[in-house]
Amino acid sequence: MQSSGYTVLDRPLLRREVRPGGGIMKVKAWLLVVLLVAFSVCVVTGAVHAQGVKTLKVGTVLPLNFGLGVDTKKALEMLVGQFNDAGGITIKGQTYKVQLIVYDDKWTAEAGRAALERLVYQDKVQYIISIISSPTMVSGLNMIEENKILNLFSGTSLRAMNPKLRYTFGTSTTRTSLMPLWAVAKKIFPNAKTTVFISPNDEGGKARAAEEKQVAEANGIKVLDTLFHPRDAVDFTALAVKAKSLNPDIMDYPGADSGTQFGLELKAVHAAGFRGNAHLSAIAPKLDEVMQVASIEALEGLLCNIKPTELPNPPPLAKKFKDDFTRTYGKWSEAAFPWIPAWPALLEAFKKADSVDPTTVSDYIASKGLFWDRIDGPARMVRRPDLGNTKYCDSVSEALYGQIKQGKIVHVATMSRDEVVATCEKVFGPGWK
Amino acid sequence: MTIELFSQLLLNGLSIGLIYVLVASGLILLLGVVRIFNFAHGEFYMLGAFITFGCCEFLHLNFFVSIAIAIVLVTILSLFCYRFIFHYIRGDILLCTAASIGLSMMLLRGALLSFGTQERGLHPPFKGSVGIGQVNLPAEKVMAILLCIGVMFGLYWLLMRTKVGKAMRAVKLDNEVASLQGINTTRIYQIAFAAGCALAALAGGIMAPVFSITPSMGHSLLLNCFMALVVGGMQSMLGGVVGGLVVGLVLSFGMYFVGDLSEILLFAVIGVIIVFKPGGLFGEPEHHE
Amino acid sequence: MNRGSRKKGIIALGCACLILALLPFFTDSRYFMHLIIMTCINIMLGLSFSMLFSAGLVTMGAAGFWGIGAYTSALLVLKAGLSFWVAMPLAALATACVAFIVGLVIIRAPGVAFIIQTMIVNMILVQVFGHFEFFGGWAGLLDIPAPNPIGPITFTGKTANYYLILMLLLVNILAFYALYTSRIGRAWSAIRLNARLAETLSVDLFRYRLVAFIISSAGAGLAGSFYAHYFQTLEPNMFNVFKSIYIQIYSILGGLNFYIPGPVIGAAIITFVPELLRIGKEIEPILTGAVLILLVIFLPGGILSLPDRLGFFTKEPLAASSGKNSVQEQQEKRVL
Repeated sequence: MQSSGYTVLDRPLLRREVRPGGGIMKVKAWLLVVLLVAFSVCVVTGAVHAQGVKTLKVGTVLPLNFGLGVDTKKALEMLVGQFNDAGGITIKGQTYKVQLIVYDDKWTAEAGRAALERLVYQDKVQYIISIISSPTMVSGLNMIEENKILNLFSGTSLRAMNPKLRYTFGTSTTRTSLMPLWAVAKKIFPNAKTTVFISPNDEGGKARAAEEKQVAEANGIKVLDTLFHPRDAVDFTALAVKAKSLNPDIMDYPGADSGTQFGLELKAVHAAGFRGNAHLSAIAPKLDEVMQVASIEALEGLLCNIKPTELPNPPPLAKKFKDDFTRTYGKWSEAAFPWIPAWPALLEAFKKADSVDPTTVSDYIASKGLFWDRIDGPARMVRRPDLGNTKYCDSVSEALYGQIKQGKIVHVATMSRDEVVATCEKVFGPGWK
Repeated sequence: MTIELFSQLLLNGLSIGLIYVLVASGLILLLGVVRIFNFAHGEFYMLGAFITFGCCEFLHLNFFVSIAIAIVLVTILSLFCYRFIFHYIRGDILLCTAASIGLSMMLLRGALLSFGTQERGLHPPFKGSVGIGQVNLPAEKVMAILLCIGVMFGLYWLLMRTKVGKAMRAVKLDNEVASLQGINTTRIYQIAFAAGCALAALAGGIMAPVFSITPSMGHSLLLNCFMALVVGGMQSMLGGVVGGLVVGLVLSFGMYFVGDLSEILLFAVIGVIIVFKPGGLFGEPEHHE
Repeated sequence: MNRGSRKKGIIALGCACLILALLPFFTDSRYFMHLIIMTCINIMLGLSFSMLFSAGLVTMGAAGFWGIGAYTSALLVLKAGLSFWVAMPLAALATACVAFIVGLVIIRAPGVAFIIQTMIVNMILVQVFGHFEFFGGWAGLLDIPAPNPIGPITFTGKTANYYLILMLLLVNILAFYALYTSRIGRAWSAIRLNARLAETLSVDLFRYRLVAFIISSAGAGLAGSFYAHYFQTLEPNMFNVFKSIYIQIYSILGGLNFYIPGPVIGAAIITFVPELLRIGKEIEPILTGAVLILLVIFLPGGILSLPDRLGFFTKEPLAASSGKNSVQEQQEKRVL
C-alpha cells in the first residue's frame, strides 16, 4: 500500500475542486457576521428603557425551569405589586417605588452569570434579592461586590457567607434550621440513640450531612452512617435496604428535596421494613406532593418544619399571603416561602438604616443586624462565628414543627428566634447574637 | 451477602432494567428502521406518565384504560412530530439531534407550564407488596416486571411473525431494496416511529405508579437508556434487552454497595465493555465505513 | 479560487478584523462585552466540533475537554502557583493528552456508538470533577485569579480580556485553516466523503481521526483555560452533556459544511438570541426550541447555505426540499 509516499492527497487541487466555504462565500459569511454583531449592539444597548422618577431597581435571577422558581417569581411579583399600589416607601422625605426585574438562570452558572451581568451593567440595579441557585450566586459574588450592590440572597451556598463580602447577606434559614430541629427531635423521640442519614451527593447535600452530623452528635445521637445517592435518583430501594440493615432509631434526610423525591425516600424506607415511625426533615416538605407518592403509613412519625399556612389558625400575614396568591394566580403553592424573605428584609433594612444607599444599608446590617417579619414568621440576622464571620450575615427565624400522625399534621413545637439562636450557640459556641 | 439480599437487589434491578429495555427498544426501532436519533424520546415517556396520571386522577378511569389512552394520544402526537419534523431529516444524525433537542426543549417547558409546578405521584392500582420467597417487592414493581416482559414478547412476535414486522426488518436492512420489493417505505417509517414512541409512552404509564411524575423524569431516564444502547449495541433488539438489564442491575447492586458511586461503577463497566467490543455487546464489531 | 475573489476575501476579512478590533470603543456596555467574550469562547468550541465533523466524526463530548482545559489551568495557577501564561499552553497540552488516551479507545466505535460514547466520556469527566475534592467537588473552584498582567495591561476589565480571547480565537482560526488546506485536511475530507474509499487509497482512517480528535480537543482546552480565568469560578455542571449539545448546535446552525464561518455564526446566534428573548421569560426555551426546529427543517445546510438556496451564485435557486446541492453532499447525508 505505502510505496513512494505520493498518495492522492499530494496531487494539486484542480480548480473545480474548490470546497464550499472559500472565496466569495467567505466574503458573504464575514459580512453576515459583522451585520449580526452590529444588529446585536443596537438591540441590546437599546433594550434599556427609561423609567419613572425615583424608582428603585431590584433584580433577581430565578430558576424558571423548576416549579419553585416559577412560584417564587409569582410571589415576588405579587408582593412588589402590592407594595407599589400601597404607595411605596418613604425614606427621608422621598417616596420610592420598586421595579422588579426577573431573569431566568435555568440553574446553570453560564445563564446565571449572563443574567447577573445584564442586571448589573445593563439594567443597573442597585439591589439584588432572592437568588436561589448556588452556581449563579457564586459566579456573581465578586461582580456584585465590585459594583456595590446590596445582595440579599435566598440560596444555601456557604461560599456567600465569606467574611470578605461586604454587600452579601443570607436571608433564608436553610443553613440555620438544623440546630433547632435536633433539639425538638430530642424531645419528641426521647429514647432515640442512633440515626442514619440519606443525602444527595451534591454540594448542598454533602454540606448539610456534615453539619447535621455535628449537630446530632452534639445532641447525643450517634450517626451510624451517611448514605449518599445521585441528585436525581428515584429508586431508593437499595439504599433503604442498607439503611434498614443498620437498624437506626431515627431516619434523617439532610439536604433532601421537599417534593416527590422525598416521598419516594420515605416510601422506600417503609417498604424496606423500617417501622420506627421516626423521620426527620430540616426542610419543610411539600406535603401534598409527598403524600401523592408515599402511603400514610410510610409518613407516620415524620417530624419536620411546617409552614404557618398548615396551622389550624394561620397568623394573619401568612393567611393574607395565601389568600392573595390564590386569588391572583388561581392555585396555591407554598413553594415560594423559603425564597421570598429577602423582600421584606430589604424594606425593613431601608427603614432601619433610613437610607436607600446600598453601602449605607449594607454596613448597617453588618454591624447592627436586622429584625424583620417574613411572611411565615419573624426572623433576625445572626453572626456566623463558626464560619469565621463576625458580622451579621445569616438569618434565623421562628420555627414551627409538626409531626405527621395518621396522615395529618399535628403542630408539636414552636421555637422563637431566641430559642433557635440558643440551639445554634449550644452546638457551635457563642457569638451568634 | 445473603440470598435474600441478592434476590431483593436482583428483582429491583430487573424492574428498573426492564423499563430501560422498553424505552431502549423504542430507540433502537427508531434508529434502525427510520434512521432517526430521537432526543425527545424521554419527553414522550414523560407525557405517557402524565396522561396516565391525568386519566386516573381526574377522570377516575381504570389504570390500564388510562395507559391505553396515553399510548393513543402520544402516538398521535408522535405522528404529528414525524410528519412535520423528522420526515425531512431522516438519515442525518446531526440534524436529528438538533431538531429533537429543540422538540425536547419545547415539550419539557410546555409540560412544566401546562401541568403546573406541582410534582405528582400516582397511587398504585394494587396496594401492598408481593412476596416472592423471602423477598418483598411492591405490587407496582411486580406489575411493571410482568407488563414489560409481556410487551417484549409482543414486540418479538410483531417483528418476527407479522407482515408489518417483517417489512420493518426489511426496511432496516436496506430501504431501497425493500421499496423495490413493493414495501411502502413511507408507511413503514410512520408505523415504526409511532411504535417506538408508543413504547416510550407505555413505559411511562407503567412507571407512573412506581416513582414520581415530574416534567424532567424523561431526561434522566433517557441518559440511562443511552448507556443501555452503548452496552448492548444499537443493531438489534437483543442488544437493547441485554443493555437495559445490565444497566438496571449494575445501578441496583451499585447503589447498595457503593452508594452514589454507582454511576461511576456503571461507567467503569461500560468502559470495560467498549474496550473489547466498541460497538456494544451485540453491535457492529468495528468502525468500518 | 481566482485572484479576484481571493482579493475580495482578504479585504472583507480585513474589514471584519478592524471592526472587531475597535469593538470596545463602539460600546460601553459591559454586559454586551461579556456576551461578545462568551461568543468568542463558544466559537472556539464550535470550531473544535467542526474539525471533528470534517473528519466524519460527530462528538457529544466537546464540553468535557473544555472542562479539562479549564480545570487544569485553574489548578495549575491556584495550587502550583504558575503564571496564567504558562498554565494556558500546559492546559491545552493536558487536554490533548487526555484526548489521545480517550481517542485510542473510542475512535474504533462505529457510527452512533461513537457518538454516545463521547457523551459517556463527557459524563465521566463531570463526575470526576464533582467527586474529588481536588477539583473542588460539586461546589467547584472559586476565586480563580485573572491572567497575570503583562506590563501595564491588567486583565481585570472586559476590554483586556476581550482582546485576549480575540487573539486566541484568531490563532485558533488560522491554525485550523492551515490544517484544512493542508494534506491532513484533504485526508479528513476524503474520510468524510467516503471512508471506505479513502481507506483503499491508503488513507489511515484511525490515525487521521485520532489527529483530528487530539487537535480539536486541544483547541477546546485552550478556550477552557481562558474561560477559567475570565469567569473566575468553575463548577462541574458547566461542562455537562447539555453544553456539548449546544456546541453541536453552533455548528449546525451556522452550516455544517463551513468549518470556520459556520461556528462563528452559530455561536453568535445561540449566545445572543436567548439574551434577546429574555423578554419571553419562562417561555423562552419553547421559542428557542421552535426556532431550532424551523431552522433545521428549512435550512438544513445552516444559515450559510442561504446564499446557495436563494441562488445568489447560480442561475436558478435550489429545489426547496433539500438544502444539499451536490452529489458530494448527498453522500454526506448517509451517516447512520
